[in-house]
Amino acid sequence: MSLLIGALTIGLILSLLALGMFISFKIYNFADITAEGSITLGASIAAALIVSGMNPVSATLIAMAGGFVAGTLTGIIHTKFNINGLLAGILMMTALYSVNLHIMGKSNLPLMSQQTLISLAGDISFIPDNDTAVLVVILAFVALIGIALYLFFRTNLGTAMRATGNNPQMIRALGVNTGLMITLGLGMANALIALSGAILAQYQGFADVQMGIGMMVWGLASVIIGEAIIGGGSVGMLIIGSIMGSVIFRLLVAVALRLGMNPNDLKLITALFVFIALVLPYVTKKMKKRGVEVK
Amino acid sequence: MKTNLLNILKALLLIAALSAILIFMDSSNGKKDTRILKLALIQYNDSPLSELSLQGFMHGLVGTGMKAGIDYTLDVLNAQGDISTLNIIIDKVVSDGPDLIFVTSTPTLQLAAQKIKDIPVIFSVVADPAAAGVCNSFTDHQENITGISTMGDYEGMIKIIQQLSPDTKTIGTIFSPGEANSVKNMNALKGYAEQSGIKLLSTPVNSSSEIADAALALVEARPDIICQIVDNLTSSSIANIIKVARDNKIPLFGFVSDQSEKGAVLVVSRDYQQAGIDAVVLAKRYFDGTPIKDIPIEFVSKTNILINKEAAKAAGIIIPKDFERKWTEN
Repeated sequence: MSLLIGALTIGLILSLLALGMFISFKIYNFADITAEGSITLGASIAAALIVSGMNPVSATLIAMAGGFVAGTLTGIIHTKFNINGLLAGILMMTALYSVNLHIMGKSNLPLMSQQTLISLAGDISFIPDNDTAVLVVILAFVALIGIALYLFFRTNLGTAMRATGNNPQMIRALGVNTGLMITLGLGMANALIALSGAILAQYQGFADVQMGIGMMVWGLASVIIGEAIIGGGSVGMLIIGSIMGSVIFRLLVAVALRLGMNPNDLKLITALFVFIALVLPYVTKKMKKRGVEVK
Repeated sequence: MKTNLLNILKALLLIAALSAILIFMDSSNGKKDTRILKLALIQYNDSPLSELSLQGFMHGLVGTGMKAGIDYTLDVLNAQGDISTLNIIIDKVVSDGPDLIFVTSTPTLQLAAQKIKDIPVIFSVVADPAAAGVCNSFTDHQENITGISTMGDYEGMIKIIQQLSPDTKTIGTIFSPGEANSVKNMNALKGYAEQSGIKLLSTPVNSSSEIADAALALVEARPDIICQIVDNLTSSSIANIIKVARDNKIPLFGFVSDQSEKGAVLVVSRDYQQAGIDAVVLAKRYFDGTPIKDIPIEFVSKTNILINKEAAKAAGIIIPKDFERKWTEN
């Protein structure tokens, strides 16, 4: 059981990362590598503040704010200085490495005996088994964030942000500042990613300056797998897809490990999962089309 | 709307199916052959350190006289530097129900400490388990966790300095006050140096761009030897420090093995293969009946000395011909 619960929990924690990547990648078509720095930023801020004695809820909120600032800075570098999006993200990610070292004061900060959101989650829940209790609380929390995000994208501001990604000329003609919309969107995306990092650090009991490595790809993979299975018809479906995609992706990794696959092949296999998820919708569409032609 | 619900249902079914596979395979693993020891080794990334320690574990297991496949099975897993995979790997190993788990590197140890409470864990290739938060001292540690610390051998370094150049009065190092590790290492070196009547001159740096200036400031104070401690900031800019030391004919001694090739005169480094062997020795003690909580954490039992002859000549320090071999043998 513990492998299943562990995989589901990690999947849900990282679904917040996937939601962040959904905003930057699906709404703005911007593969934002700031994520690898901002997930560590969230973890570092939360860990440093909790160690200094702050309560975990405020620490996590401040970590989110830190992610928002990092994201808006990437947005400003991209929109105001007209620097290519990927490059803007790389610049920010590189800078954040040093920032994170300074925040923690060293490369790794343990949270072994401190009270964290995770130990709080274990306390407030009625379920006796601690791991299951944590899983249930995180599930409820992620669902709330998903609903909040859905409602936000239906407000005027949210609609303007989506329109900026879809048709910037049209929305600019309506008097919306597209640069501001992109910057705000990246801020939101990285706030979610930092939130994911803050919770991950509290779940695993430490923050490490290297923990962001590979995270952007995993986030994108979750969004893509979710879209392949659930379909990308609407914002709501994309949000649900990102969350479920993240969970499915972690379960696939767990099953692959459980089946005794050579661990050296792990990255190859995960790349294969993502490839299949990318190609599947295209292939099925093509097959359907052919079916119509034959008729 | 209808297709949307259908798709969500499809995804839920997929999640349920994958979960079912995991549950089913967990319970089929429940039956256990008690005659065979089930061991697991979890590593965080692929690096020369993890590979050397892996060789050490293998040698160590051969040394116990047990036979692979007959007396024990060893499951080796590597997260390839990915922290989310590391989480799942640890859960996987725990659900396998092994008799003992080996872990290498700090993040792996920390995750194990967080997630594993009732299976013995023996770590290796962790510099400072106290800073990692898993123990208060080498004897006072989490009940199911003990292991091998690979922290720099500061005591050995001072002994070597005294043997090589007995009239050394001052040594110098650059350190980074922002890094807890750096301050700790600096104080450790200072402590051993002062015991031997050697003064430590230390120059602080806050960013890698300050290192060149700090190195110049340090050589200005003319220490007899620069003995560079290990931290993140100086490790990555070591070439810079080595160059300044060399230009000023001050020998530089270090603690990281690849600094020897970069021009450090002498490097005192922990032997990471031995770190694996030592971890197996601790495991043997546990299997012979000592509870983990009564097995103290230990330093690696072997230290290597690397001498760069060309750099020694350039710095004008004479190293006796078979110093390296003699020291290692003692």
